Amino acid sequence: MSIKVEHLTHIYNKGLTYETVALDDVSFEIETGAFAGIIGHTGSGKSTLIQHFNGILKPESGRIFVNGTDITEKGIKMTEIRKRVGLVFQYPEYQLFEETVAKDIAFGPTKMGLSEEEIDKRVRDAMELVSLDYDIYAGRSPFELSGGQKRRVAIAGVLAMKPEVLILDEPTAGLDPRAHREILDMLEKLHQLEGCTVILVSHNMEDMAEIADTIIVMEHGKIVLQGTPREVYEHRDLLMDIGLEPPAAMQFTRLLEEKGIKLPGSVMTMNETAEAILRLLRN
Amino acid sequence: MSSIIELKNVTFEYKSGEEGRVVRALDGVDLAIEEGSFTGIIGVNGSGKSTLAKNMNGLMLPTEGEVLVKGMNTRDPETIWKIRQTVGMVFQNPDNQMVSAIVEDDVAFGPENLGVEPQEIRRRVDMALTDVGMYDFRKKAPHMLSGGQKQRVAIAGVVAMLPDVIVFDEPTAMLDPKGRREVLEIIRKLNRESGKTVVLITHFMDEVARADRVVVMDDGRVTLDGKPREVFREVEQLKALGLDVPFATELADRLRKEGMDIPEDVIFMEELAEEIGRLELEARS
Amino acid sequence: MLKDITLGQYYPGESVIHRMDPRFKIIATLLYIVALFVMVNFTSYIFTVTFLVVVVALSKVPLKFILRGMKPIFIILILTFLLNLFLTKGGDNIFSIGFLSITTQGLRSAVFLASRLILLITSSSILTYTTKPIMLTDGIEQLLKPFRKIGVPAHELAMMMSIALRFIPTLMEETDRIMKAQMARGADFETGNLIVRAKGLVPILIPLFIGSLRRADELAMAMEARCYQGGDGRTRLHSLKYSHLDLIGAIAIAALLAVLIIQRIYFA
Repeated sequence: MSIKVEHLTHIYNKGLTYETVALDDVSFEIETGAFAGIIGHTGSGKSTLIQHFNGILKPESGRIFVNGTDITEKGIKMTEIRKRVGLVFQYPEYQLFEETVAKDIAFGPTKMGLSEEEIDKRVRDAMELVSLDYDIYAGRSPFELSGGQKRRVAIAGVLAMKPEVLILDEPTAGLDPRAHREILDMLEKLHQLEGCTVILVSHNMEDMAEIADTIIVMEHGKIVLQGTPREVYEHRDLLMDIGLEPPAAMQFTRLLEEKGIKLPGSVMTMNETAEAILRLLRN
Repeated sequence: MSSIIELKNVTFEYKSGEEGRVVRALDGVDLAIEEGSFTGIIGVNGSGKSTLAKNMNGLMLPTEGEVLVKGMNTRDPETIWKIRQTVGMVFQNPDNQMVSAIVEDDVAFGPENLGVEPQEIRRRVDMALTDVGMYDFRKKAPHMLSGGQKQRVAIAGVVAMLPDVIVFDEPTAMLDPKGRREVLEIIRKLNRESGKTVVLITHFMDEVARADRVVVMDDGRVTLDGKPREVFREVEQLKALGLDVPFATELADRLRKEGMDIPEDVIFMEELAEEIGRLELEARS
Repeated sequence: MLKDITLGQYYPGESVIHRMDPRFKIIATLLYIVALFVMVNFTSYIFTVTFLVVVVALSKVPLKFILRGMKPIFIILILTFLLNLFLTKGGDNIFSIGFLSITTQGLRSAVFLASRLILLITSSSILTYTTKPIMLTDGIEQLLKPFRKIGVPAHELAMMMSIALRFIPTLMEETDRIMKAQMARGADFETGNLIVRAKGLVPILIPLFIGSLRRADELAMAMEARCYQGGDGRTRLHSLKYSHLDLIGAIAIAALLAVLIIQRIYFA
């Protein structure tokens, strides 16, 4: 499922003295099956942007197409859109409320009016996707779990709705390196196995280099850069200007270049850097 | 150098859940923090690092063993407030440690509790806010600030109490890269320029690469302890604990495994670039 | 929608009213409310209204702002007016349809009561418009201090109020976020009957409640770490001081009360 945005503008507190333009004439397209990354600082408008994709926020002006359907038009049932565009908010573990993990994950599917069996199947599938053993965790209270586990339950709650587009706002914020890795691996698996379009909002440039195939960089409510990670990271100075550091691998190649060492090809990740250095030294 | 905080064989247990299962969060920890030093404590969630921090100023009391701050025992109710004034603490969530709806009043909270004279409170509040670069925001409401700014105000609130030690319990975990940089810079400044002893708990390895000492916690115990170079060279062990190592350390480790002649204790990118420059020269000649 | 409520908000400014001591302003507001119940006749009304008009003018709070604050209680105001209009009997009949009739006494009582209500709300909102919430809690704490001997927890009350003030914006943000998150999972807060809607609030209220407990826990720990041990031995950054402005104010409110009492004794 694709998402296309045309001239999207969003203003908070319109007409009041503290009115702020959160999105300013934003246009772009994310194709079906893409793994897209949206990067930017807190307050750059990235969170506001993604809340338009499933109609939780309404734009001041502009149009949003989900698979060709303009969801800003009158008469569009938002509940239908929300079944197909799943949105995982920041710190989603704080939205858990049910007595058991299974019940909490079932919240979305139940609201969709699915049959008992279908709901049960979806809960099991979603738990498997986030690597939580059904037999162990289904009956447990979500509040007894660790931070990383809670977060996976919350993500499973959205996955159980089987969305065609999955949007996640900073899904690894505050997690330790291990839990961080687990969430990234899970997203990759989801993207490959389920074939769903994934939109990841993050300020972690390393993750983006590794996982995303297209990146949108936002600043002050505008898109400042757009393209593949390689294309975007070429604009090193611009990124530094808005306070985003390129991935460590690119910082390192820069250091090497200053010493007159030019690595073959362009590198973005640890693996690529290691290979390029080996190639250079072995030749 | 003398130790300002001493943990002697500290064990901390608590009961968890409805069944009242006893969890041992700290298991016989011996640790002495040197005056004026910068110590990084790393470990995954649940490794006991936060419990360790809270034992350092008597917010938690050890089940077994003792904690001494400048010789004062945290078990002694007579000196507990002196201990908390000596060992200040900044927490992870900036929202949940602010008491007042106005920045400067929040910074004043600690000194007010200590019974400091109003004129002196004023002086300290202004000084602390200037130190963290938030003086211009003194009349603002905390919810109007960014995460990094809030965290800086929280630091000012501790600085205004004139502590000798500041324990930072994952102060950057909830911040974006800009906020992280701002906060780290202040932490380093407090250590270098103001001479505060700093204990920084984190799971970002690069934050402690320049510390004097890194302590690695796992399952309530100290598993590694030494200079960053000594600790980070244990790449395999750190990875097995679910931790990362700095970029340069990991890259050096990979290259070494491929037979490259690179020293084991590389932690900074500049050093590794030097090494590769050397190898390249050798390869060419 | 929550943002439209101006009642109880602070309107930043430097006017003479803003600069008065919060303790004086609290007492003056209470005295003014007493005055509203002392007044008996039309002349008294002229005095109380004039007094408030002068205060509003001095405060420099825009009239628009004050009127907007009146909106939430508009319905109560209309209801009070109508109830008094139709249910108070006495005097001559002015108008009647069916079983409803309006008498001179009814009209008089309706107008008086409604305007009393308007004055009451305007005066107390002037207090909050011109006094920072934190000053207000300080004022309340100071005023209640003498009653500590008889067990009034003055400091604790003030601390609770100031923490509440601090966390209202945070909790509003959190409510907004949880609501959106549940909407993204298919929750619907806009349709259905009252019971369905009330049930629909559970997915918001439980996370909010649990979140508040967590916050309270962390805040308590942070306060302890900063040596908070109750009100004893605590000093304050800002100490409250009465100024000549408060003296002038005190004379004015005393004069108003005196006039009203004289009116009541001699002309009622």
